[in-house]
Amino acid sequence: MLLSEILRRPVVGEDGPLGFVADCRLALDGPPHPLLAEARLVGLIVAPKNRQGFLGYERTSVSSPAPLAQWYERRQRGSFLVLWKDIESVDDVVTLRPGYTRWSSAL
Amino acid sequence: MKKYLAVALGILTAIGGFVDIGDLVTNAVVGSRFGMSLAWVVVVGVGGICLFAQMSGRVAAISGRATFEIIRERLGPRAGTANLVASVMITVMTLTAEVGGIALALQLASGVQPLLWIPVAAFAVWLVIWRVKFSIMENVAGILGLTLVVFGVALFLLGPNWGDLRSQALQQTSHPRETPLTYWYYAIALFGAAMTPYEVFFFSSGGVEEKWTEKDLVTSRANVMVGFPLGGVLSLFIAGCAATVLLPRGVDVDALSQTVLPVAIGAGKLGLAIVILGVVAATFGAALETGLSAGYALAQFNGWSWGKFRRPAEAARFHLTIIVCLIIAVLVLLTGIDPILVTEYSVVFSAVALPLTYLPILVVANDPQYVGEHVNGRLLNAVSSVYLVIILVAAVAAIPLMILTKAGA
Amino acid sequence: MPELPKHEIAGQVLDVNLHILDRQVLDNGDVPIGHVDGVEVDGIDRGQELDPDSSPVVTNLVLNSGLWPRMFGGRPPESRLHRVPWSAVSKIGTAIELGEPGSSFDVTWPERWVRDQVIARIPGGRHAPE
Repeated sequence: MLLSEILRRPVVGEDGPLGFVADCRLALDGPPHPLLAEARLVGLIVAPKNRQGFLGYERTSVSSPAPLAQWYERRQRGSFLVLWKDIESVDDVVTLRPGYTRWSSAL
Repeated sequence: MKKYLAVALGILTAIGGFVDIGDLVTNAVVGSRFGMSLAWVVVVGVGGICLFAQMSGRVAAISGRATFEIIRERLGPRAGTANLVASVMITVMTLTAEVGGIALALQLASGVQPLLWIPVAAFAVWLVIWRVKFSIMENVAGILGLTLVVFGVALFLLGPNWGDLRSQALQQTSHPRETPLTYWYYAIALFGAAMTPYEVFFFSSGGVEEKWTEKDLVTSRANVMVGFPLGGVLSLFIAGCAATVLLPRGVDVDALSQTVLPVAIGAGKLGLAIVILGVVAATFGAALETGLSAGYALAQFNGWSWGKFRRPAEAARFHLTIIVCLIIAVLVLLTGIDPILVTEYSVVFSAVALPLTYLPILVVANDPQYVGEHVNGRLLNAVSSVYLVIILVAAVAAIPLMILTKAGA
Repeated sequence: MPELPKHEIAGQVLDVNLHILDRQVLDNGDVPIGHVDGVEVDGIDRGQELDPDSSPVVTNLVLNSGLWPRMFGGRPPESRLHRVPWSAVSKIGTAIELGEPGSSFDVTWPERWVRDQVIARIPGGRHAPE
């Protein structure tokens, strides 16, 4: 499956819709290969809105003085990470298991 | 000593390379209709291009990533493609104007019809891009373009009323027969002529071509901060000549011959010969830059291999793009369209396209992932943000003003 | 908004959309060969209940799918997917670097085609500029 296809799909939990897939988090913590370690899908970042943003600038901050700090803050607002073990199924809609945990989406 | 020579060469090249057909025509038109009352726009425009060229050069030197790769990464596929299409169209439009400018200048020199010069000029531009090393190309075109300083010489020889010129510049009011709308329309045109979008692609890609590293930052900063303002002074000389000779006589500029007329009057036949050489060099250099910029934009966005530092066989699609763009420019010009007209539209559309390139550069210049510790300082960010507002206002106002003033008629 | 707990992860952490998609891909000679349009993983079956104990593993990067799929969704047909295996990736930074030359991958065929059909036929195409 192409992870890029999962982006922007709606996410639902037992209590109803939770948002949309904003990103997929990988960790390079698998067995090392000659060059890079194996990459595992750790979880999905869920964001409340299916933000297209202005020209795609939802990923960064334009008012630059403290760009990275402001950007992380804006990106995190309302968004959270769900781990792989809390995801029940991936189809046109991503369904989470009951009792899933919300983790911080900060990098 | 060698380092100083290199810096000096870079500065001279930047000065000579600053003026292109857009600056030539727009400054002459403005000088002939508004005197020096729009001089402040040149100052603002030069400030802007210094700022953004410096940022894009820094990003290129430290991260090795050039502008359109960054645009694709930051804007994503949809907005990025829209940006690419708009930028390439404007760059090709400017390329068309430059090739037309070469042909017009050669007509002035030889009396031969420009339509005959157009294929020759385009072929020459292609040949240089195909075979000549990047640094040689830049340096020769830049140094030859320096001969445009004859505009300044002519201005002094014409003995204008300096007090008049100064009061025009400071009053910033419209000339009696012009309306505020045309004043602001030409302000935007002049702004677009000074802050050409292709310059940013070219400067950052050139940095990668010449394999800049952190050590080259000082040189590139010197080139930009000294060279571009002096180039702006050249622009002001062009406007000043027009203001002195054409304005009092109410002569409108609609041909290249009128742009250089003040030099002929002020500095005689020798001056005319030198200025024609300068115009050919400046427009040729600008044609090289815009042709390459179109190639850079398309190749970088699509992830193709690019660059003059590679053999053409190793950057095949990049070179094919440039060939196609040159062919388009020739075909458009062969329809007989007036290159001056193309120029006048290209500078206004350049102003519209400015936010597309400047926004991503500003964002990335603040990102440590790209520039390491060389992120923008507070002051730089503050000034750049002000410029961003100016750029957005100009971009939004350009088309409505064009319609309202019927393109400055 | 209460602070969410932080999940500790060993190893380099990357977000696909932020760090990998649309990034330039360079071969081991720093030659650009394309950009990332997709990331392929093993271990997710559509619609099936997922195994909580085995996370999917990234198998390939997909390059240069063209604009249509990225803008309008969907994916190009299997035959047109240009894959680069994850094992070929040597570094992920502002660009994605591979450990092998571009000629090892089939994604470079359009460049080779233009090179052979057009550029090599023009005199001087194979020489370095002077």
